[in-house]
Amino acid sequence: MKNTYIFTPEAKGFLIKGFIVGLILLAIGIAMNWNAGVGGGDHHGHAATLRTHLIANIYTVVLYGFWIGVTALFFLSATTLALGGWHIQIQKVLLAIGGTLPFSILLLAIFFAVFNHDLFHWTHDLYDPNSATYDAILASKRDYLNMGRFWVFAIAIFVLVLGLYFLWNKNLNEMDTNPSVKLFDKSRAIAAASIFILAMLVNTFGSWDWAMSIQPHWYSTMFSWYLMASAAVGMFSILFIIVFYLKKNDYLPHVNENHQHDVAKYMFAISIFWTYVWFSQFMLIWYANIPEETIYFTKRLHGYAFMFYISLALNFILPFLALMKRDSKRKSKLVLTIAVFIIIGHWFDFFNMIVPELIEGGGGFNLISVGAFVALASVFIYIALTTLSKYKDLSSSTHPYIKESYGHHI
Amino acid sequence: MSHFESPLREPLITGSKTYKQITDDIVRGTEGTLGLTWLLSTGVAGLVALFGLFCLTWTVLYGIGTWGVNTTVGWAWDITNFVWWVGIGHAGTLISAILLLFRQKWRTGVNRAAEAMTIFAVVCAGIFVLLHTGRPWDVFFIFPYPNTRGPLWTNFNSPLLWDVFAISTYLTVSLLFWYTGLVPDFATIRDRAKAGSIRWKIYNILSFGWVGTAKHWERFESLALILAGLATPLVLSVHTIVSFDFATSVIPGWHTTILPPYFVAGAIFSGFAMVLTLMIVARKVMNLQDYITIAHIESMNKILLLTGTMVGTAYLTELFVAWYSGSMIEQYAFANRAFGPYWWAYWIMMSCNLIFPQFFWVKKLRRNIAFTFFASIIVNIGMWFERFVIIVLSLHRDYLPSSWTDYQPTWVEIGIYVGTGGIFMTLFLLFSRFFPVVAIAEVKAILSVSGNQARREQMDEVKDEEAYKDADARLIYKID
Repeated sequence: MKNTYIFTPEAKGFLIKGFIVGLILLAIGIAMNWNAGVGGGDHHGHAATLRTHLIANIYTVVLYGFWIGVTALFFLSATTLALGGWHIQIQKVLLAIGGTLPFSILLLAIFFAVFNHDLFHWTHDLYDPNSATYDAILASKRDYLNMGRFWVFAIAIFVLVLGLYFLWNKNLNEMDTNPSVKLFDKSRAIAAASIFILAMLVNTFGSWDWAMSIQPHWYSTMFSWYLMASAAVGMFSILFIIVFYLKKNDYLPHVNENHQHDVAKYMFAISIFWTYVWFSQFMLIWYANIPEETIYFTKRLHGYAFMFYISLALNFILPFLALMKRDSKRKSKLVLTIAVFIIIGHWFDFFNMIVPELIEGGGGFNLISVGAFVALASVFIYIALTTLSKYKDLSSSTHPYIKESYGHHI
Repeated sequence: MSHFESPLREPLITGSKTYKQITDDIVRGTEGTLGLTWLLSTGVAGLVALFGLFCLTWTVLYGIGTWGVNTTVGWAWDITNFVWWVGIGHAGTLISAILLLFRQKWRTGVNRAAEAMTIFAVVCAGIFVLLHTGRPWDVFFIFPYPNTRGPLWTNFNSPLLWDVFAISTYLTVSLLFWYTGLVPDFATIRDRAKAGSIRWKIYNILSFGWVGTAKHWERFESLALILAGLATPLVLSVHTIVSFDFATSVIPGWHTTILPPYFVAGAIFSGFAMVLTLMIVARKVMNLQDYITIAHIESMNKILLLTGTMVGTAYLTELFVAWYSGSMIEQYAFANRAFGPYWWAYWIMMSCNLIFPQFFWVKKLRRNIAFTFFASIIVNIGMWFERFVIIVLSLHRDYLPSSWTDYQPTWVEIGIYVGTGGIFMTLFLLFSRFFPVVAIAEVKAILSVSGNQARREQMDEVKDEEAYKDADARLIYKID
């Protein structure tokens, strides 16, 4: 029984090829947008130059990747805390998705250190009443929107997330070599801490600082829920794809259509949850019609209407119709196709959160976006699979609940 | 569902029951003559309900002027109570629908009573909306049918109308769900009665002549799954639309996008608190400790901790975003909640809903029945104050300071509220006397894998399983 994943040269080659294709697309995109923004400019004085195009699009994918890692840890914790048994065989895959966190944190740190002026309008000279760019409203938020506070929170989040990842990693690996009820109890304690920290600190301040404050005048209390739900569906889709790939290569012999059915259920359910928070946020802002709030959707419907609607189609209509039936959730090739579309759909959703603000009036989506996504996605999956190959016991076969997972039948 | 359960899991039925004993234990409560305690408590609850009806009639006779509401605070006590009762009506369908989809076996011990409670709570909530219309005899105006009232037609743009549809759908599906589950249990009661007696005839009609063939069970199970699938979005939709009643407006403190999921979490929170309050009493009085075990109570306390913290996160998010928004009106609304004339209501809400449930991080307290009972009361109070804070504290400071006012309830309003409590208790007592309070068939379905005797058998049989060879089997199987 193969119970240690071997990251074969063929798989590596495939992902390296993906990375190169991404870079080529990126290069073509750069060539096509070489003169972007020259001579133009919006009211903030930013011109959507090539630099902006690159930064906005790469940052979108990095943020998406970071939150996929966070939601992987979150779901692992939630289901452990709820005493779930079915997922035990695939919990290492969840952990491996979390294994991309050090990489995405590194990239985020680079963005915040080097490109903060490109991403965050509030880092410009807005708080001085004598300055030409003085903004009275933003000046009232200076206690929050300043680089010192931003870094303190960012570093705290980075440290906490990495700490939780390493705790999980240590705990599950120890369970493989020296299983005990005590360690299992400990994993639930880690899960409780993870849920609390990820939901109350990381997801809130992370989403406000790194995504909502890109449009610093605008605010929505739903935003952090919306962002997390979006990433979570992407995470379940990737989970499904990796499990499918492992099955295809004769790993995880006891994972069958019942387990895949459950992952697909989560894809379906969280897609609907995403739609719920998306719709609630949209509907309440539309209904109240307060200009300070509607500006967010105005920017997305002018110039980015296609991205706006296609994201709804891919993230709600498609999974809702395609995954509703029991039978369709058990057809792994069908779910695989839907998973790919969902990953793209939620990338578009992240794009809609970030790019229309940085490249106003449209044109933000081009080959640079596609190239950045393909290249970075290859790297993320490469890291996840490398992490996965390090686990000695891929299916966690010594976990106290493993037999429940073997016999899972729905 | 898996037919194997890890021996580490706590048994959900204790006392080494046989199938016969389960039937006896649960049906016994519906048989025999009416007990004195039951008669007395039902009598008291009925009197309270009658007082509520009296206050209700008083309102109808003398008009809404008998309430403490005024031009500025147009919504107050009645809407607070409406939202409170609707919220309580969320736990039952959550337990029966969402937990069924999640295949949580512990739901079987409490789902029946929780579903009944849901229906009674929604009935109580309905009384407040009915009165709130001002002219309850014209209530049929809300139905969109061709009429001669000209432009006086239903306003489809209003969340208040969406509420009518959401809540009536919810009540219908909850009722169907509850009743479908009862059918095989009614048949069990019928089969114990003397054939041909009045009791037999009544329960035979109630059970639709159920005989429990394989075909019956097959249809029963698929219907349960379909209803669960239908009820799941309804659990979310009802309180979402209740939150829209507030959030679609442009009143600071009401208009905030987090309101829908926060209301749903709060509703589940208060619903579970009420289930705990009632079930802790019922399990003791009716001797159901083997079916509603400490493990059930612990699971429900975990949900209280989870939903309480979710609600708390939403409170803090609102506070933070009000400050972050830079909008002075928003900032004032929240400063007024915390430090204005009704500061005490705000801090009762905060301490009952956010701070108090944090005690449940401690396992000992989650498994302590007296503490749980106390906590469930605290949460019920806290959730009532949450709605009071949202409604009265947002309204009493209008945009124009000349309109600022305060609100005080009158005896009529208080009387109606107390009266709905009486109606609720009367209905619940009737239910607990004539209906099986625990789902007999569903509890039996989990006996073979989740009963305590199943655990004991496992101890002997699985010690040399192949899969565990390398593991420290002694440690993994050690349970006491």
